[in-house]
Amino acid sequence: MNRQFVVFPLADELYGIDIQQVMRIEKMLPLTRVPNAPPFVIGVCNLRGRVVPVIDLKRRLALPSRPNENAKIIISSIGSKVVGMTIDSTVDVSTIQTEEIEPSPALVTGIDTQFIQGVAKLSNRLLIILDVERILSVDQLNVLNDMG
Amino acid sequence: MGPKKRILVVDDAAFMRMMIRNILTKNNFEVAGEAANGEEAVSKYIELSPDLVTLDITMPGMDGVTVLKKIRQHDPNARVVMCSAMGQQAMVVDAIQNGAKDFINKPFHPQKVVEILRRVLR
Amino acid sequence: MTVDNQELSAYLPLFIEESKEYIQQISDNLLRLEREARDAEAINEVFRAVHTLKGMAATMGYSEISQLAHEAENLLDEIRHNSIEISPAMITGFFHVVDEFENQVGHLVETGEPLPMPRQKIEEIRAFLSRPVREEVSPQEGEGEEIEGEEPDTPEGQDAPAEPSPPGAYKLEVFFTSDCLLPQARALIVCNQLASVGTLLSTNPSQEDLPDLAALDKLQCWVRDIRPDQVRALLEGGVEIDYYTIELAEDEESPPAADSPAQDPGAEVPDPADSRHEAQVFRPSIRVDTEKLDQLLNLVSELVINKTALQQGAAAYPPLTEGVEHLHRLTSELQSIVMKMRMIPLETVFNRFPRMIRDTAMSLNKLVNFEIEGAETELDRTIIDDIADPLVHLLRNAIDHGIEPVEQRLQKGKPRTGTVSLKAYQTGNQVIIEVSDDGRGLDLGHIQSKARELRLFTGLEADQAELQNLIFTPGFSTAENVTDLSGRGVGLDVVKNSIESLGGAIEVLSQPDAGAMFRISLPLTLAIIQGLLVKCGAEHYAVPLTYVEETGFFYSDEIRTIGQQEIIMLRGKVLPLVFLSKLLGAEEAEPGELSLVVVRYGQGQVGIVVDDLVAQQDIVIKNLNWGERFFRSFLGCSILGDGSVVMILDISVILSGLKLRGVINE
Repeated sequence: MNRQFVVFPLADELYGIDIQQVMRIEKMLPLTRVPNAPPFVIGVCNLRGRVVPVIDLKRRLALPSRPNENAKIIISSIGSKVVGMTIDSTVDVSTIQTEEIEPSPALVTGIDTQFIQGVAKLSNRLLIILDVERILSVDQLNVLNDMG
Repeated sequence: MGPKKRILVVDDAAFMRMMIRNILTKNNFEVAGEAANGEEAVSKYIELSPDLVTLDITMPGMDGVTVLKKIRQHDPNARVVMCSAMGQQAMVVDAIQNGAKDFINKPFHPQKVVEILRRVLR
Repeated sequence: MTVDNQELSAYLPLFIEESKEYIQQISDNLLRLEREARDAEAINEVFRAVHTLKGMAATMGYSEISQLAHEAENLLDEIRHNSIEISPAMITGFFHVVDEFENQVGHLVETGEPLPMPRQKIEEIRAFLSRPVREEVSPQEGEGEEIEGEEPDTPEGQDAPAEPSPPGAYKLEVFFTSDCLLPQARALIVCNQLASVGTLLSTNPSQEDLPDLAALDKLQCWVRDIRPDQVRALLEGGVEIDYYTIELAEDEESPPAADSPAQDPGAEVPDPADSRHEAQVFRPSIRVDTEKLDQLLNLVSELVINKTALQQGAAAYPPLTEGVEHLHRLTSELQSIVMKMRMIPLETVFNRFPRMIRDTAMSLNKLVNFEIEGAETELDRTIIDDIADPLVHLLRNAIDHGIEPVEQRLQKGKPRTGTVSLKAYQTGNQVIIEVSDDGRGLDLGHIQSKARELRLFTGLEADQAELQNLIFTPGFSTAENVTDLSGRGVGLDVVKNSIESLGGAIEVLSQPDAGAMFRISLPLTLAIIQGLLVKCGAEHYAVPLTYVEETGFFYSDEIRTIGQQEIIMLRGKVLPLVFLSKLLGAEEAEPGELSLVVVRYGQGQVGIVVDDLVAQQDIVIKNLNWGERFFRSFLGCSILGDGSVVMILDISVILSGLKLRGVINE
């Protein structure tokens, strides 16, 4: 069985999100700051009449992040939630055989393994497949740590 | 057809009383009596026990709504139809809230008057 | 015949929805029977509802429910045919069955599966149901005589009607001719006529409102105890009546009688299965999925936003003005229709209270008469959903802490039975709900000492109203012994918070030994509110107008400090200030002219300092569905005419936890 992934670089690594969890990819939209929210929530934007919260994916993964004018927003929807995640730039769509996906090793690149669904080889590079549901599940307890 | 229904006509204007009388008699009602003011209306009602009263809403002295209340005090089942001219909405509403069965508007359309009275008398 | 699995899931929502209606109907009629055991009509209603439920459950293959219904039906049948007076024990037995139905349906809602019921449980209920009958059936009764209950549709105390009187209520719509001079008066006459033949439950517009209306094209009435032929006789060819429609009242839209609803809470729920064939449906109504209504509202909101943008454009380009004006009118009309479609009567919430009151009163061994008024008052669906819990809390409090035990009441010279009442009405753009009791009232002495203990007042003497409203402070519970029902550490502050998060407010009025009244005011709708746009640094925020008491300007050099608290003097009174920029971590304003938004805070006022007041306008509230905890300080967001997003401040949240030292302590 094949799965398709939206693939993008972040810091030095290649990351992938299952295409079924991606509604669309937008260029950066004007954001309205949300006071008193944790740093990875960088604001809300108007997506064709719908107000969508936007998180800085790098900050969410505890990677260093700085403002980027060329950033893009991956609009992801899970259940009734629609959330945007900023990424640095260029995206691609790649197809990967399900068998080629391996469970995440204990140690990858320093990002929290709870956000990793698995890894796969993509033209000699390691593709880190993100668990979007985990990334977006912020109403659980782990937020306390993030906010602390 | 049963006996003619007996109507008491109350209006301070003799002209209006005549108009109503004409409409009523032509349509098989009996005018049991007429009254030109509120006091007279109440005493005639008690005296005649008509089947229905047409009651002018604005009269000098005791106004229509007060007369209505007095008549209904005497006879809670009294059938009273108010006669009003345009622009007396508030009084008409007041009368209906106080138990008037219906109302007719001046200028009178004979057919409408008859229709309303028949309905009220049913 | 049962439906197969695939179809089952398609029918489930409807099954659940209708089951709830029938369970409610059973419950309501049991309450009726509790007051009047010989109410044959009520027994029939219970019987019909149980019977229908049984059939529905069997069709779905839910044998647990149908079996239970069957047991109940057997006993009911016996009662009907032997004219047994239903005893309190039987009613309690039936209530057990109702509870079990509710459990089952609850389980269906959560899991899609019925709750497996052990044989033993059914036996238990069967025993429960059969015991009282054996005790109470006297053999000579029910032999040879026609019993009242036999003719299900004959209302008591009336001669046998030509057409059977329907069990439910009818909804009438009467349209007046365009040349009708005084439709308001005509409408009142129709009301009087209907009331003289049957029971007029309510009307729309209400009879109180009718006289003052400027225009009226139709009147809606909900009537009961009247047959369609009687309605026809009254309205057919009626003076200045253009046409009229009769239909069976849907239970969501059939408001109960405003004057005596508590006496008869369930009677207006029709039994569609029984009476569909005799309904005079001249104008069909349809059921719409609430999700579609939400979508429709979203689209309309879009339209409102785009219209605002166009209006701004038209200001710069005059030829557009007329078209935009027209668009404006159309959008407003559309908006108001959509908002109306979302309104549902409070009845849907109030319905469940009589049973709860009964159970609460019984478990506390108190005598309580429960009155409901204004259940037909309508509110936006989103608010209705969230208002039930606070009301339950207040009603339980009223019985638990308000109403005294019988002996105490007698000592005080009060009637044995206490009264708890729930009253709703609309005033302007708000709906008021009052929960009152004729019990002991708030214990001011107790509140005072508790207030000292919690140091809520330092040196200042509070007046009575201020003291009373302290009960909404977190951690403030004066219940001496925390009972199972109310106490539980969940205090009135929670009630207050939920009301405020709905954009509403709550206050309490109390008289020792005369009782207490909690008055809740709610906005008619949550979806579109009036908001004040303020500027704070480079950012804009919206403040719901319901919070705003006044606005003004002042110069930064007018700010004084008391203790560490910044204040200004407003008309000779001390007004503590908070700076929105500090609360929200925004850029601080330049010194100079500042703007002030004065809001209620606790028993006093607080001035929120902002850089500028921008505009007052309609705001469409958008929810985010994600990250609620980050957005706690906000009621939601809104999109402005220029496409930008503003956050709508939840004033009660951003001010909570605020310490206003030296001025007010709360």
